[in-house]
Amino acid sequence: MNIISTKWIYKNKSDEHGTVTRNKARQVSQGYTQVEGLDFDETFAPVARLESIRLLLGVSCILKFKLFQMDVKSAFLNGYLNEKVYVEQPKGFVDPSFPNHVYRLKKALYGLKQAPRAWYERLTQSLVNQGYMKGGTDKTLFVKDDNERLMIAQIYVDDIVFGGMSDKMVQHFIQQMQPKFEMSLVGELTYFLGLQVKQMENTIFILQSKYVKNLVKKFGMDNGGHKRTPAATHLKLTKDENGVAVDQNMYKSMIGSLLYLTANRPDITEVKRILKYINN
Amino acid sequence: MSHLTQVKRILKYINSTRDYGILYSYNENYMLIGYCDADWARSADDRKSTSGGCFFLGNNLISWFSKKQNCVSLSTAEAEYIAAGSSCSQLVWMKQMLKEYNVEQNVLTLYCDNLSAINISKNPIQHNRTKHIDMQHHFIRDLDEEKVVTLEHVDIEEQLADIFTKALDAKQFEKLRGKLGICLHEEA
Repeated sequence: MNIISTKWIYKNKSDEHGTVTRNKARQVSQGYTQVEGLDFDETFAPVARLESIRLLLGVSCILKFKLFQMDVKSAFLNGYLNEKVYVEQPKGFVDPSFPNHVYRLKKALYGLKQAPRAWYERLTQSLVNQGYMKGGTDKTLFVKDDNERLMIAQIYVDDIVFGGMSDKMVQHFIQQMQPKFEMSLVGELTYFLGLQVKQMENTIFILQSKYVKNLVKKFGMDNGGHKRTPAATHLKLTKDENGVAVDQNMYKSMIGSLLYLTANRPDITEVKRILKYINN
Repeated sequence: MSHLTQVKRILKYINSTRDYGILYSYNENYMLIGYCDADWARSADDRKSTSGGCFFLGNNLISWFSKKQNCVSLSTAEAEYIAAGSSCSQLVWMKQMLKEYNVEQNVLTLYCDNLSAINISKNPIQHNRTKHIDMQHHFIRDLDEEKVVTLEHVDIEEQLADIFTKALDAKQFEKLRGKLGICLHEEA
């Protein structure tokens, strides 16, 4: 029998303006002590591709429907476990009469290898029961076709982006989901994966100005000069022979942040290659 | 140029353009189209070429890529042909995804500025200059024959994928950026 150790994780959650809104304490299991075949089998995380999200934005423009989002609180705790998983008692909450006892888990804890998959299965089951079809190409896309009236739900771990061709369907979906899972936010899609989304009549605009603002501030570049293009023409990068030693960590962090940004900024995609080159 | 200087330049650029974003708008037209381009022997280290492409649903930019090719090409046409192949797989994926939304597509159009590459895709005869091209790149011929994707010519002026393969001067860069639908919210 394998007993998985646990620990507490403390985190401050901030909103899109950077203000701390919540202090979180979460009991997590240390999944790296799990043994394959003994206390976990298959793993999978329901992560949509960013292109799928943008395709959804494009489709919602064509089909003329508004997008909404819901965020499932502590999503992974909802998943049921098929395997026998034992964890030690949470630190600070050890029963003084039975200090040597352990818990057998019925539902998942954060940190377990199978936690994302268990959550995905639970959510899939719930959506399929409501008449949704799982996408053949994209396993995180769920579509319900009610006499040509579509209702769509795209999953990104604990975030669900959804929309439909009638308000009634959208309301019905929210009513179905709310009693099943605890939600921390249900409303129009405005902020998703660091992406600010502005929905208007007939148009959707996405930008990342807040992410960029924090990024340049972090590296002390907020008073830097103005550049119209990200790279000079005919730039040849070669090994930096006589370069001065720079702070490696800051440098790597800069490049990492910029690489993340290329996912939603086509205008700096071409320099991604440069960033990768420099990173090596 | 120092690497740090280049990274700082990118930071300066994104800081100057931080309010820019992608605009999606309602349009009667929801055809899937793609643009593909290649920069031959771009890499100074190993002479490998760079592929680039971008994909639209109507006027709305959905996806794009810029990638160094895996093998060395002997000609620009070959490099473009390989870029077209990568772009085709992306288009086919998008077509499948759209089917999930009940949005059906006719023949998908991929724009390419290299006539030789287009001819290779439509002509199954093996020429001396093309016979060495690896089988995996030829699935584009099947797609063309089955009327899934068709390769069309586009003038270099209208080649939107240019921005993904090479560094451009400010005037051309800003023009293409605008055509991709990247703008300020006020311009929307």
